[in-house]
Amino acid sequence: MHSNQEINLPETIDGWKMEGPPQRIDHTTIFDYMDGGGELYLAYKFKSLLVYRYNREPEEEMLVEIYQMETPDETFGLLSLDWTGEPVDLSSAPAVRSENPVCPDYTALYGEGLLRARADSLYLRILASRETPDVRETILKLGKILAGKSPAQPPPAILDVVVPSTDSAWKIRQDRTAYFHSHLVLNSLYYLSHENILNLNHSTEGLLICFEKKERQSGSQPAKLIVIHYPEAPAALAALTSFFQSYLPEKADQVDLSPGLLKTGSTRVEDGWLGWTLFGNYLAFAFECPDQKAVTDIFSQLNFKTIKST
Amino acid sequence: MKIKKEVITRRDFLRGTAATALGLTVLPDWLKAGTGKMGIKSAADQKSLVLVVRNEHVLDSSQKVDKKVLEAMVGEVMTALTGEKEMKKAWLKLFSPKDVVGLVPTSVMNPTHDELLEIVQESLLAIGLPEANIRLAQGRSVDLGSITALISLPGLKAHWLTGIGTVIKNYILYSGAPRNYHYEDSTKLGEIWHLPSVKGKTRLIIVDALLPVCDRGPQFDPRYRWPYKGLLAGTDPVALDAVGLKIIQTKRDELRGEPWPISPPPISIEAADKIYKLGHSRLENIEIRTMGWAQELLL
Repeated sequence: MHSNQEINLPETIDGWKMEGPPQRIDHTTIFDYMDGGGELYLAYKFKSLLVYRYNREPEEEMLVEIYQMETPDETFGLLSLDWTGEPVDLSSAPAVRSENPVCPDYTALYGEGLLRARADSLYLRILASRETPDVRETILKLGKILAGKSPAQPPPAILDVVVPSTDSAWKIRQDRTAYFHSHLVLNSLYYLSHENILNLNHSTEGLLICFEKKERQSGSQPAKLIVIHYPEAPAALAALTSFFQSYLPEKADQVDLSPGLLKTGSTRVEDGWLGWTLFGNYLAFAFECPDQKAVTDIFSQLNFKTIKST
Repeated sequence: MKIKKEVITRRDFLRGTAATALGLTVLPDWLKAGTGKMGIKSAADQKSLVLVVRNEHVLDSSQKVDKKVLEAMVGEVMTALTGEKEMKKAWLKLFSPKDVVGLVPTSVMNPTHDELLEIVQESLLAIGLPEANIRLAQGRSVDLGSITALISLPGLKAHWLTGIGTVIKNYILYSGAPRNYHYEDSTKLGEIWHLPSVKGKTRLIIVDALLPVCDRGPQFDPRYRWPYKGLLAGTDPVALDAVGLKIIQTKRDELRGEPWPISPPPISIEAADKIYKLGHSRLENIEIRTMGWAQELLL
């Protein structure tokens, strides 16, 4: 299913009855539907939303939200905000999954009456007011109706820029990898500044990846890697300049921010070592590294040349 | 290189200088004079008082509210706040039968339980307020001019744009432009409490912490709701948010088994204290008085 306009949900299912036609939401009405929440979907290139409601006696409700996003990458991004939950398979075809060392390969996650799933360019949320084993079954049935025939989608290409090294002392926490475009989303995952100091917008793609020591010591914090892909190299350089002005103003006069292909460096700040590297239209930062070597080690797992078209 | 204007960053929070970075530049002209702490402090030590009342029987196994138990919890709140054991006297200490009282619940993400609203409404009726003078006062189109007293009744929850979305944020719709108070502008949430139609009217705050939500949202995820079975109460909106934040943060860390900081940091709490002088944000300036069920108190 490629569009939420092609949806044909059953009027009744397992004793649940659909309540009227679906509510149709677009970008002009999303704030009426979820005040304070529309920004999230708009940040992921939202096109439209269909909301179906089912009821069952006594006083049970089920909400089926079908978000139409511009591309499958956006649905990946929404799911990547929280990889926890029980992975479930909604596909009617045998699962063909490619191993990905950077993030989980789940396409649907269930927990306590809430199903979140991605299917092509659709993002699904099915929420029941009360969870029981039979409610879970109904939710999964609806999920399979909506997502069962969707072709498997690869994760966004930007993930290929991270090439984990078996020799490294650091390993990726796959369940913390997130894909985003917006500083609001980044801030909800890892706070940098209330202002948009990396000049993020719909034309940029971002990854947040957490690394932890293979021999993890109790109480140690994971290091965070942020990778941003800009539409062109001058935009990446401008973002690095903005970052220095806002985040490292004491260093802003000491680093070379003139145009050039590669710029890299590191410095110690309040929560550990902070590293930056600029390569063409890619910009990456490593935060909360325990030492300078960790910055180098984490950056060594980046291979910007693996991306074919930048 | 020309240095940009000061922006608040992660480093400001690490250094404890976020409040300094905020400065007074966000204070509008109409607010620059006359701000003062709005909360009522414990008489003995000038700390703000926050009551945490819990009862393990207030929810059944399907999370339905036992209204009688909740009513008893509200009674404990009123007695502790006013010193009066008799309920009518306790309510009359804060409200007059001549008042027009606006009840301000939370309507989204983690809605205030109807039973709590009913109990407050019934208590006001019992001291002689006419039904017409007890109004639901959440929303953009509330006639605040005719309301003489507000009771804030928010649900305890984290918020994806402001970190926490409980007491200080509960009046956001009174601004008429809620989107102007998200992101970096959440620092300004405190100014809404100084609007002429709002200032000084909040006589009681009861936070519905029966089933708080510790994840950011923006949409409800049942996995992050848990039966805390409590009410937080007092009159200092900042202190109540600070205590609510502590409970939510502790629950998050417990869920993950490692630090899981609320993000973005709820800067509105510190700004409400340091800039808008609405109350105390630091736990050392808050007296937390706990009553009832003590298991998993998270404080």
